[in-house]
Amino acid sequence: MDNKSLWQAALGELELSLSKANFTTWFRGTNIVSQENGEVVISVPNVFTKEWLENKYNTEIKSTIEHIAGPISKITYKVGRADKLKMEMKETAKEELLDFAAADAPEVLYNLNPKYVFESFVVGETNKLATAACQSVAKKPGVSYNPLFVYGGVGLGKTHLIQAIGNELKKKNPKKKIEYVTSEKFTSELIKSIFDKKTDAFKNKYRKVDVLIVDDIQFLGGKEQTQEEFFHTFNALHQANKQVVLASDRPPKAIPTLEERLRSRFEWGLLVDIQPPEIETRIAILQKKAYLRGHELPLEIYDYIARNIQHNVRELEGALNRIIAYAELNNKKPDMALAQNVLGSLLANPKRKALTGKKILSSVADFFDLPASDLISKKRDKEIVLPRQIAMYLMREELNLSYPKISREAGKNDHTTAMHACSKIEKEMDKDEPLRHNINLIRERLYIG
Amino acid sequence: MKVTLLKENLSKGLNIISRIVSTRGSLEVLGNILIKTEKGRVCLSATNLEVGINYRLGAKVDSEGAITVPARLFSEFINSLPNEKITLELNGDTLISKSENYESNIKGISADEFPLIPEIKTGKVMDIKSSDLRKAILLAAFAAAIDDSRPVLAGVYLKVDGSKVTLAATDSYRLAEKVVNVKSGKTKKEELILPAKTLLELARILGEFKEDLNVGVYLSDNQILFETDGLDFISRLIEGQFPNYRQIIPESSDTKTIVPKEELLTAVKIASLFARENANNIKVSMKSKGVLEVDSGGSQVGQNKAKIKAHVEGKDGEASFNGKYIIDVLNNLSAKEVSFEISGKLNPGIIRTPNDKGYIYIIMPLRN
Repeated sequence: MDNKSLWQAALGELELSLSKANFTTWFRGTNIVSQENGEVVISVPNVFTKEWLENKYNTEIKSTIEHIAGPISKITYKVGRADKLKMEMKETAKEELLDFAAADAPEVLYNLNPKYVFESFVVGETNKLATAACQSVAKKPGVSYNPLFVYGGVGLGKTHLIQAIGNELKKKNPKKKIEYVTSEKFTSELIKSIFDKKTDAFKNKYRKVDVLIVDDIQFLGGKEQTQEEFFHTFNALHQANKQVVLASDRPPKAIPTLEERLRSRFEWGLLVDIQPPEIETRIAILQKKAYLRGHELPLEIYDYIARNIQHNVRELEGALNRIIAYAELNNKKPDMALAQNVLGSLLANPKRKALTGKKILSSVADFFDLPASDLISKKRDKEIVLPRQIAMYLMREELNLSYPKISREAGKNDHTTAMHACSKIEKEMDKDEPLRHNINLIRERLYIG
Repeated sequence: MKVTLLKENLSKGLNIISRIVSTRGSLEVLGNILIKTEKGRVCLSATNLEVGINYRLGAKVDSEGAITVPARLFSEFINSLPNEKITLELNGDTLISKSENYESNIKGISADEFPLIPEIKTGKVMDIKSSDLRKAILLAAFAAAIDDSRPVLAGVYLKVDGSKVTLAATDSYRLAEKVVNVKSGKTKKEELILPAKTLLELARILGEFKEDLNVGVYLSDNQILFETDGLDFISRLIEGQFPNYRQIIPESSDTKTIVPKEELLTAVKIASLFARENANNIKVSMKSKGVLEVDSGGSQVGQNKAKIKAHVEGKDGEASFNGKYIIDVLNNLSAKEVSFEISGKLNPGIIRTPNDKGYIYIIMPLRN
């Protein structure tokens, strides 16, 4: 019986019956800490939450848990998170020694997640190059590819890979100073140092590392002073042959408002991308994850999940967890029927069903700031033709409409118009990075809005 | 619900509670305050889920009831009214406020939606005078860390042992400790950590009361309650262990200066203007001939030096400190004179006031 999975499943159900504000306010930071003899103990972050859950939501929570895991006798709520408490105690044990005699010597701390190592990364066709590049950097930091720039969509393993570099280096040489930050943290530290008038300490901290790993570098976009500071840090490290590793959800060219001098530096070393894994890799990932959790499921279940969830490894893992949890809680052997039953509601995305050609047209028109009527008009201005072709491409890709139907949707008579549009956009996307990025943005909006 | 109360009293109550209201919560009702009748009085409550507060005021209660209304609108409205009687009446979820010339309807949210503020009435730790508590908070809490990256350091350590109550805070660059004696005999031995921000808020609220009141302190289930004269102030505690700071308090010092507080404050403020680019690095030199020098050190904008006549004991000495940390403590001290002790360039400096043995402030020196 897994506490975490049970609570996740319960939260999933509760979320549907509550308003978003209520759900995030009252269920954030809650966990199941134990379930024994039919008594479930839920830890809550503060006493207000405790009172509220006890008095207002207790019946709902109990029936939800019973619905998933079978009858329980009662629920008790406890303030404080068990895991966090332990962590804090450890941390303070280190803090026991306050040393005022030593002056400003900013220490470099590792903040790598030890879980992220190369061994646990599943390599497939779409991330082979990125993995090889990262491994090579981990072997010879500062020599082979400097900087190394890894980009790819959410949930594809960028953070895993770049942290694996840090962990590998640390394993080989614990004395190496490795700094992993997100660009957001870099920015806030810079702001804080300006506020505290300690910019020198800030500069020293980053310019004295052996390896600097920066995640989500795209958030530097538009932050001019941070970019400048990062530029100098980058130069200092690069000149001293120190390794810099960067990760982003898009290539440097597609990060708007990134200064030219930074962009050219990012492209200096090696750019590698991670694409969504193909079906074989997805299956391999699922097998590995299940194995790491001590389970083995029939191959057809892996196949079923992998076929239905294509773009995001995190979602893949979530679906797997759900099936395992469900099977464990109901004491059933996981089989195909169970998987379909558990994931059915998840996969039958109502929004996806609701998507129509019209919706695509209006989203595309919206994105390019054109009136939707222009897209279905006879106009052939350059500004209109490309969005129209993108819309047709998306109708083909997302809805699998026939070419004649697409042409009709876009106000054209001839189905070859649609065929031409789709093949043109497909070709262009290979060459034209901003175009591909734009299309991905539109695609995201289709399913969010 | 129908109650009649004086604008003055209502205003005071709203001032006390309304700073606790959560401003960025996603849950609308957290931006509201709760007004409810309670045993012939009116109770105002607010919470941001870290701190909860109840404040009761006298009123003529004609009929019972409860409602929550947007904190900001309601307190700004009440504060703008002239000093006279106000009648609050409930019509469904709408609160009707009537005074002689003004009538307004404010749309509220049902009181059932408002978080329950926990009641703690067991586990009494001590009684302390509000003036003592307030002073101790103001002298210690400012030294706590501002960010939450090390949660324990964003808190104030509170230790109760017999009649001795200790408050201490440190952000690992400076440390403030204040010891207060409480009269009441019955106290429990306790050690806990409270969020510094919360305590500063409590100090502000205690300042709103003109009289010196007795504050009862209760502890239970990870929560602390301060109770006085119709006021309940409940806060969460910070989990963890406070660093053993006693070890860094120096037992003696090489050089000790006694100097007028305002003069030292002015000198450091001026030097700070010149030391901004230099991480606020300010050099303090004590000369046994009776002079305390404050030097900003050279930077691009220029340099500044100040000399203050002072009483100096021990050998000549100098050390550098972050000027901000000196200014912080001097701003909070009310004494006319302060003593400043150093022991060479590499050991911490000490600031205290000659007539308060219970207070000590320690600053880490900067190495140049």
